[in-house]
Amino acid sequence: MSAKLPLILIVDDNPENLSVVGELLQPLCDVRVANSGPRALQLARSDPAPQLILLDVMMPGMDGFEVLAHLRADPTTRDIAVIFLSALSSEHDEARALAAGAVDYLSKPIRPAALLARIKTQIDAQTTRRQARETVAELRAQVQHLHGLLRVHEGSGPVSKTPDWLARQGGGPL
Amino acid sequence: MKAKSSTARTAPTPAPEHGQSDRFLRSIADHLPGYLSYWDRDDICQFANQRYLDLFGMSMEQVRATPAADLIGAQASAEIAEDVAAVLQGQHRQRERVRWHQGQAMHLWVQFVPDWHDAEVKGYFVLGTDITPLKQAEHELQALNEALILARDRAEAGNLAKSNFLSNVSHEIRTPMNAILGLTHLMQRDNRDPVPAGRLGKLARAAQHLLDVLNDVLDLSKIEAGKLSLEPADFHLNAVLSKVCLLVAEQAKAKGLELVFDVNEQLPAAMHGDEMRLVQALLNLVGNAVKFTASGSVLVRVTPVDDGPAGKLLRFAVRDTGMGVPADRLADLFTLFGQADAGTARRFGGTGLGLAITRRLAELMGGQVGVSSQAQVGSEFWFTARLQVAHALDHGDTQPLMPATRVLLIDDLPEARDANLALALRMGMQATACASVQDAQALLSQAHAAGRPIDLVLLDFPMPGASDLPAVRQLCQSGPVPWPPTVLLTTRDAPTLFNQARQAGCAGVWPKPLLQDEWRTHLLDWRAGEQAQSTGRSALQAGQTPATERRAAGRMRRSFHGFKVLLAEDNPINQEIALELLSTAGLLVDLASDGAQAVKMARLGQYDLILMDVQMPVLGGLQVTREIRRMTQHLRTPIVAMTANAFAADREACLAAGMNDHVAKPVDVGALFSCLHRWLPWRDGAPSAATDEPLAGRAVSVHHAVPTAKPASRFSGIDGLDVQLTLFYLPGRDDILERVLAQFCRAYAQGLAVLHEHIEHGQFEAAHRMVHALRGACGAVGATGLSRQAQTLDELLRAATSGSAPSAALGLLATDLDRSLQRLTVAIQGQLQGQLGTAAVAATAHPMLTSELSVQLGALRRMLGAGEFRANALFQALEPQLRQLHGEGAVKPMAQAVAGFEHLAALAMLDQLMATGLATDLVSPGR
Repeated sequence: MSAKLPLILIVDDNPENLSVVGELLQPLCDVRVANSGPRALQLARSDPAPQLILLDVMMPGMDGFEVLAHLRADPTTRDIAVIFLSALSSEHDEARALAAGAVDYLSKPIRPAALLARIKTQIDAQTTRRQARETVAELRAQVQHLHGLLRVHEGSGPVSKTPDWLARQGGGPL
Repeated sequence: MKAKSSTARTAPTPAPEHGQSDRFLRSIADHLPGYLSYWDRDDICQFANQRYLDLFGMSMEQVRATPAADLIGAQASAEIAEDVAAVLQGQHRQRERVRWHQGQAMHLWVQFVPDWHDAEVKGYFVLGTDITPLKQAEHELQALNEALILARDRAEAGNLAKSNFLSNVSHEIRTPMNAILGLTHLMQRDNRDPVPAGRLGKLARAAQHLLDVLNDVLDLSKIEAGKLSLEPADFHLNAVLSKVCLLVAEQAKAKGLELVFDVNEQLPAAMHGDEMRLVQALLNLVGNAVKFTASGSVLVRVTPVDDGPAGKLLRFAVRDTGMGVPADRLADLFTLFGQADAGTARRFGGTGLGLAITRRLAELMGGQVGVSSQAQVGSEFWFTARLQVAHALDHGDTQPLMPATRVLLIDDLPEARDANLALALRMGMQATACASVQDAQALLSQAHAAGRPIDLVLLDFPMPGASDLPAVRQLCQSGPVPWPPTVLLTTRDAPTLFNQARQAGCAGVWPKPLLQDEWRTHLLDWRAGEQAQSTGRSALQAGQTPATERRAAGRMRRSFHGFKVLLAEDNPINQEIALELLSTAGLLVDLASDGAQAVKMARLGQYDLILMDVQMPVLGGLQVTREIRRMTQHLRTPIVAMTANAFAADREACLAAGMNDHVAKPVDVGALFSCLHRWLPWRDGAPSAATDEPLAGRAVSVHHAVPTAKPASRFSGIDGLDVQLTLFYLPGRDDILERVLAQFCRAYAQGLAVLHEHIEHGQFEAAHRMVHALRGACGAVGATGLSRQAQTLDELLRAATSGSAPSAALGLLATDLDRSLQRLTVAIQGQLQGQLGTAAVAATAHPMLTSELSVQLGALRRMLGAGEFRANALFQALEPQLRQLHGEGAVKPMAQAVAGFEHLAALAMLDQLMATGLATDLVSPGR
């Protein structure tokens, strides 16, 4: 209860599926629902952004793969984790979904325990990543602070460049 | 050759045709079934047989006078130029060529043979053979092949179409199945009434079966297409059997079939392979055996066959006592739709794909399938699979299990006897077995005489000599030596049998089949029961004298005496209950009323066990556990979670944080004591203390049965309070109950005013904590109705985002809850003061104020815009009000849009509705 509930967006053209998955997740998550690809993109780009999207594959108009492609093309939504939920149970589709950048693939009918476990895994992973990022940022700040102190002590002009190891620590996504 | 033909030609040498021998040779040459000619180095044909001459319609002389290029044509001589050059070098050459003769293609096989004379090639022979018929046959063959390839391609396209079709059908079926199974799950989750729950269970099973059939069909088509691959991982062999057992046990029990599982003891517990597919293959066989056997037994036996570099070959055999299969049908059984006859399918259902799938799975796993059968006697179906031995997997059953227990097994079915004996031995017990009650008597006497009396008898029921309960009772009372505690092993419906068996003097009833896990559970329960029969509950058993009661209570204290327990619990009512229960059992309890205190006390003290409330403010149970686990003295201290959260995920979180076990709240006393018995060290003296008790005293067990005698309590008249349930927790102790109820009333006398404040200010977390605590308290005092009411609010609050606007539903639920709570506390207080509380007036309808509605509509607008799932629930809560204000016609399409999750459309309609002016005084769209 102390932590904020994770925000999850469910995308499915079938209202029953939205109901079932929504009801299942509702006590544990802040649940948003979209009944089409375009609506999903709209909600994904709104603030606050979902932490995780459960995406149906077969939808009329824009299908799940297309939605995912749009999400990946947009810098604001690129990093949102996507789990495919599909009534197609072929390994080919699974491979295709994972290759397209989905973090997981579950076939319908969904098994509640499995779905909850997979979601938990993703949310936990995100938390861990965020914590790691924060720790590194903190360390980096500390090191830069020390660096600043050093510079003051030496009093011999600015330090020309960040040491390599520090650049590695701070640079780029983890 | 061209170069040569352009050089000046010498006169051709005359043909060597002289006399008899020449004529004879020509005759041979003419009769050859080919075209023979001799050419000299100058490319002049010096000799040709008649067939060759006939090709050109020339005489020998004419041919001899014609240069090669003119005779066979420039194109042909260019074609063979290379061969001619080579043969003049002395090489043999051969080639195939086509010659057009009288408008017909003639396929020739042409051989060039050099004519050596004095180490010099003087010329060469050319032999042409007509292979036209051969060529034609070859062409026909080729055409046939092409036709076949075409046919194959068509078939494959058909197969692909079939695959696609199946995939589409699968999708179309799975989509509604998802809704059916999912909604059933949700209804099961939210419904606790037994009758609908039972129906929902059946619905879920039927839906699951349908899904199984679908999966069978898909699996098979996948295997057929070669698309199924195994996913090997480490697994426990026992887990495979458990899963299979779980899936068929009910059906077997319904038919009174005995299921026996026998795993060869030489097999390692952990293997490496595709567990799911193994279960699937075995389940098909076991399921069939159960389905087609009317009476008798089904034996599942796993034995090693051989060891190879690719792993162990295991044989899974399923033997039944069914109708058998006629010999002429055996061969077809493992083919598709190969049920013995069409009537079988009608009578027994099923897809007829099971055996075919098992065969293919076995083949995938490097094994085979087979069957032997005898009509009216039974069949044995088996398959083999090659599996590797896993090393990484720890056994999970390393905990020694009552090593000193001496067990006697009585079973007249040899397979069952052997299998159970092997299991008992493997679990470290001293087990013996025999086939009849007469043998048992003899063994008991022997053991008694040897000074090693049997601790526990496991009796197959019914069997000759123990065919009914009176016979069992007589058996237990007969014989030269006292009969030890006896447990009945039976396929019959255990719950109904249990009370009767207990009255007959039995220590328990264990439903068959017994796998390793069941053995463990039953034995642990029995052990706990042997001790816990002396808890307060046994005092309620009819017919027990106060003396037995005292002795029992004394034994209970003795068994737990001196154990030190730390109880971390923040709720005062739960504290009171737990303290009372634990100290009655002779435990020394230290109380920590919050997480920080628990950590401090754990650091300072030694405890045999820690009971941990998971939901505590500030420092929760999970965090406390992690802290405690960091202390060296508590690395191995058992920590047991107490939580009202029933989610498996919550339980896993407890285990992940380092807890060992879990007791659900409201705490069931039986479950709590079972748990204590599991985790507190077993004291050697305790069980043997039981054996000098008279039989009747020992035979009483505390299986989780509600006592039949319900003593009156002065609190039993209170509406909304399930006193019997409360008494079940604290039997015969009105004084304890009085204290607890007084505590409850003190805590909640003021109602839930603070709760309303929290909700109004959007402080949902604080509100949730309050409601959650109330739920716990309700469970403790037996206010089950109120507890259910609180649950809904509990869940809603848990889901609410803090800081957001409170929904109407929350407010309504809180008001209702408050009202019910006040009714209850008034009634309890009345009883506490010796007066009967008067029931409060029934709740009146609670129309929402329009200003409140406007706030709610604002929230709904926001939720619809953000696609919040909760929008639907809020809309439903507001719908009656909206209908009242705007009429059915205006609200209905909106309701449909919301139900279809067309949130944007619903939002537009809501705005339009309000723009019509009817609702402008309620809320403005721009809000």
